[in-house]
Amino acid sequence: MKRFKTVFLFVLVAALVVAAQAQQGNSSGETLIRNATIMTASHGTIENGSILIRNGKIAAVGKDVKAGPNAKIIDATGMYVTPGFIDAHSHTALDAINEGALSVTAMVRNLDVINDTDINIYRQLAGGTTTIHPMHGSANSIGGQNVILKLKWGKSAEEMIFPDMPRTIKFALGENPKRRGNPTVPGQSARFPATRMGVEETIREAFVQGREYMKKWDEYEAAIKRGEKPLPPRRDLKLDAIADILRGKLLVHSHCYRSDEILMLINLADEFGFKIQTFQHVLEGYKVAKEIAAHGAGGSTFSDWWAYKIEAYDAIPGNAAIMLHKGIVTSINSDSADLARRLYQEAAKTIKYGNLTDEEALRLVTLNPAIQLKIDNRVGSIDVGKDADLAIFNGHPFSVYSRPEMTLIEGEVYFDRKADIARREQLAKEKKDLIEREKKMSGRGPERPETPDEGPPIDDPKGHNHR
Amino acid sequence: MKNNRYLTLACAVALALTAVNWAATRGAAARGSGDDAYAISGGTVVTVTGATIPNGVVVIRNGLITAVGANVPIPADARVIDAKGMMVYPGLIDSYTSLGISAPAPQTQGRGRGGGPPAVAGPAAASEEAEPPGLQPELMAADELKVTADTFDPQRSTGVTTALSASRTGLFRGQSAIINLGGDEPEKLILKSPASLNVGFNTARGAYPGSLLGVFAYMRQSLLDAQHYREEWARYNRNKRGVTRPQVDKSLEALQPVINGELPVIFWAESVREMKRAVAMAEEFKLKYMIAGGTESYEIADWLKQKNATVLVSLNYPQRPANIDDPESESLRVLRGRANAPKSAGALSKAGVRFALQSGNLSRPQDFLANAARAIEAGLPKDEAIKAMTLYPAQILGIAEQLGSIEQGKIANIVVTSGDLFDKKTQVKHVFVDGKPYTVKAPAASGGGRGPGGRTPGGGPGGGGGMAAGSWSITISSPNGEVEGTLTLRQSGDSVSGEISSPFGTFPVTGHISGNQLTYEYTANIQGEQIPISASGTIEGNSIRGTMSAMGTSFGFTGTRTPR
Repeated sequence: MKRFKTVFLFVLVAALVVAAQAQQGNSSGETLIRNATIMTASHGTIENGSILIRNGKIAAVGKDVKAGPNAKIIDATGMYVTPGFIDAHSHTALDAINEGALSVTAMVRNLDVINDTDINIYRQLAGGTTTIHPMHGSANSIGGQNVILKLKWGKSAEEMIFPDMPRTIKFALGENPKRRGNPTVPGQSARFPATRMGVEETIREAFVQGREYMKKWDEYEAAIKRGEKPLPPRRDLKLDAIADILRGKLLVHSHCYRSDEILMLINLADEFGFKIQTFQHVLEGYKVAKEIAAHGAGGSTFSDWWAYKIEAYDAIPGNAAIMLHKGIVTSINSDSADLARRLYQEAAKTIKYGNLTDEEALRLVTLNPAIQLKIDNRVGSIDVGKDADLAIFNGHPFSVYSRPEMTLIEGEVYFDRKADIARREQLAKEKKDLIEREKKMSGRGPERPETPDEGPPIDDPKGHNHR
Repeated sequence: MKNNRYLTLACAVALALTAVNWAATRGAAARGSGDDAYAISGGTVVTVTGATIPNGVVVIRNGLITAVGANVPIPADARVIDAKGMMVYPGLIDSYTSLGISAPAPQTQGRGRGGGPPAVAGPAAASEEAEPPGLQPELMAADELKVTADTFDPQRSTGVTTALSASRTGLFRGQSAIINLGGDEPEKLILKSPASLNVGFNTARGAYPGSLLGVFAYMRQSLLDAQHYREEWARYNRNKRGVTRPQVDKSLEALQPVINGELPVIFWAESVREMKRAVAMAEEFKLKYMIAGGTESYEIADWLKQKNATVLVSLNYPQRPANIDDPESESLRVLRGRANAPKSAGALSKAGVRFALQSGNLSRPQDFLANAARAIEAGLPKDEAIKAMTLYPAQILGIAEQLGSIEQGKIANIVVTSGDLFDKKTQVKHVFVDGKPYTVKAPAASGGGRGPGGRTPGGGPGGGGGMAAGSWSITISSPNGEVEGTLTLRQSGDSVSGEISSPFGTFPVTGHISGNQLTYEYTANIQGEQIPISASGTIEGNSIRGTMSAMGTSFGFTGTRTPR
């Protein structure tokens, strides 16, 4: 009898668990976006289509998509849905951008300085951007290691880091790393290199050191295998990174402008046997597009931003289109917290300048940057199995009259224009109350009787961030 | 009749005075024979560890508490302090200061651990130049202490009798000392040294690490190097014959107790992300650690509990910068942060996190108690607040055997106040450090403070003043003509931060002040280009003059501070 009871209890509990799981699957797992014009970026545009999202992934896309009875419905009648935009060159959400004290800083990592409270995250989200590539600055020939983030506003830095994030590193060529003639900045010693020749030499030297470093470790590993117990070599975080580039584990994204320096880096990479994953800015990419394509590198450029410095004078608005037609995986990036809020408009310009199709233009800010960052298995297009990172527009995204209404990441709504507007009054009131409260506090006078009256106490106010 | 009463009172007072005189004479005589005894009698004794004793007696002899209780006989040779109607507390412990330490002169040349090429092995490299201040874990606060008889008057006069002290400059700030705030010889002050390795996420200014990015890489490389050093020496010590002697490195030597988990690291970390970075670094290298600052810990109290973290909460709350003309210009996040800072201690207490209160180098020492009172207002139970300034820091810092409560056998650090410790009207009446009474001085005479608005030159010991803080209207004589801008600076210790606004945009600025020399750096994002700009200038009163450098050229700038 007792045994029967136990079995019965077990069955009852198991049934409850199953029921709970089923309910969870239906109520929180499914979202259906319906009646939308879907610009997939991979297989054309679907009129009056629907997207079914299940557990953060795209479960179905097409004209005839059915959802379960408990699915959350987003009615997108008259609206356009695109993949969330991907910014291949960003400096958002970082507490520091440049470690400029040395010419090679491969050991520094943006991972250590993510600022998950940067308001630009939300602002870019409001422009349909869902993934960004916050890079180290261009102060030195070999900069630091970048991160790839999903703009999950409100979540912690750890939760924003792209799942299984591919590792990338910043290189920089030309005027910035040579410091435009090597100025003596007060408090800083003059830093090699001061010319483009020096930039090449700096990079070459790093790779020579990297090779030696790998050799030392190889010898050590071999000795261990022989049963010896040698002292391990000193771990050097800078050379660890250089070695990882040589092993193909750390992908190079290099800032560049001029065609000669682009060819230089291709030659140097060939010499040492590694690949340049993407040339950044690459304003003269159209001059050496064949060579870039042959190397297998991508190009991430601006739509129409030029002449702001000596090395940006030869830029042309057709750059993106020419690189694309020469077979380069091409993207348009922002390099700016401002442009990152309207990547879709930057992409649209290439239609005017380069006669690209809508889908080609859309890919410049979705699928192509995803390929450049090696994250196209998860994001970049509206395809079954990919993350449900989506932007919903009230009109065609390439019209200047359109605006994003909603942005989803992994099926979760992170920006909703209506909700934003509804919240504004309450936030304004909170702000007003806080300001009033502070005024009252400072009017309270000295905190303790023995305090000489100096007015409101103002001690070292905190600079909370380190930028 | 009335007159009669006054007469009686006068007689009583005269008698009492005679009694005190007599006791004092006895005491003086006894001191000749080596004894120095006091009895604090009649006050409400807050023992912290035991029950509070109304009308209690605390007997002090030769620097130690020899008896505590309601019915303790007063030794004949003791000088009696009549504490009737008063409160008697253990001396307060300030668990993060730089008291008695002056800031080292800034240097700009770093050796670049982890940045430069690996040191060449062999004896030739042994005389390698040491790291500059701020990158020297071997620096001992105990060696840096400079004190005179009145150095600690301001702290003692607010009831603080013990402090953890170390430099507040740089990344590796050196090893702290725990000191009693009495006496005029450093050797007599020290209770424990080293007590911790103090770390701040600060740059080396002009050298590597020159940014927050470099700070983490530098720290990581240093700790890896310390591990390698340990391995190298362990092997050598096992078998010296036929093995080349490894090179001695003071910095790596100093990091040994840190990587072995013997000496705690105190990370200065105020924001949520600074605290998370500190915990991540500590976990990566399995360090024993504490967080000092914890300003935003109200946001992550449960996470801190889960991490089993220890937080030394700063009572130097963030305040509205003096130079903000339009309050609307501050973000809601910043406003919320300031409003919520006093809630942190209460939140930690509620979540069961080990914590203590510390002054965060408040420039007005009297704000230590005033701001603790604000923490109580914001939810910290009063008895917890008292513990967080006495017993908890003693336990956290490993000195609870000697300090943190009024118990027989502990060091006689005692504060006698006119009333409740956190009451605004309360005054400190008597202070004992190591069993010696010290005169309580009004804070007005404390010196070392600075004027309102942080604009008067000067500064507390090791604290730095408010020399640079304010809103500066600047004119830059750039190669392309004059550019007008606004430089808004806040100052914390000798670190400066803020922003610069010009027609090119608004960019965050970080810098440093040494005397009246201001240096700052920022990266301007002009048309998509990250342009590093650095500046240095001399401040005189409300004007500044200096040079800026960018893109290979230097040019002058001048500025005046906007009156508040």
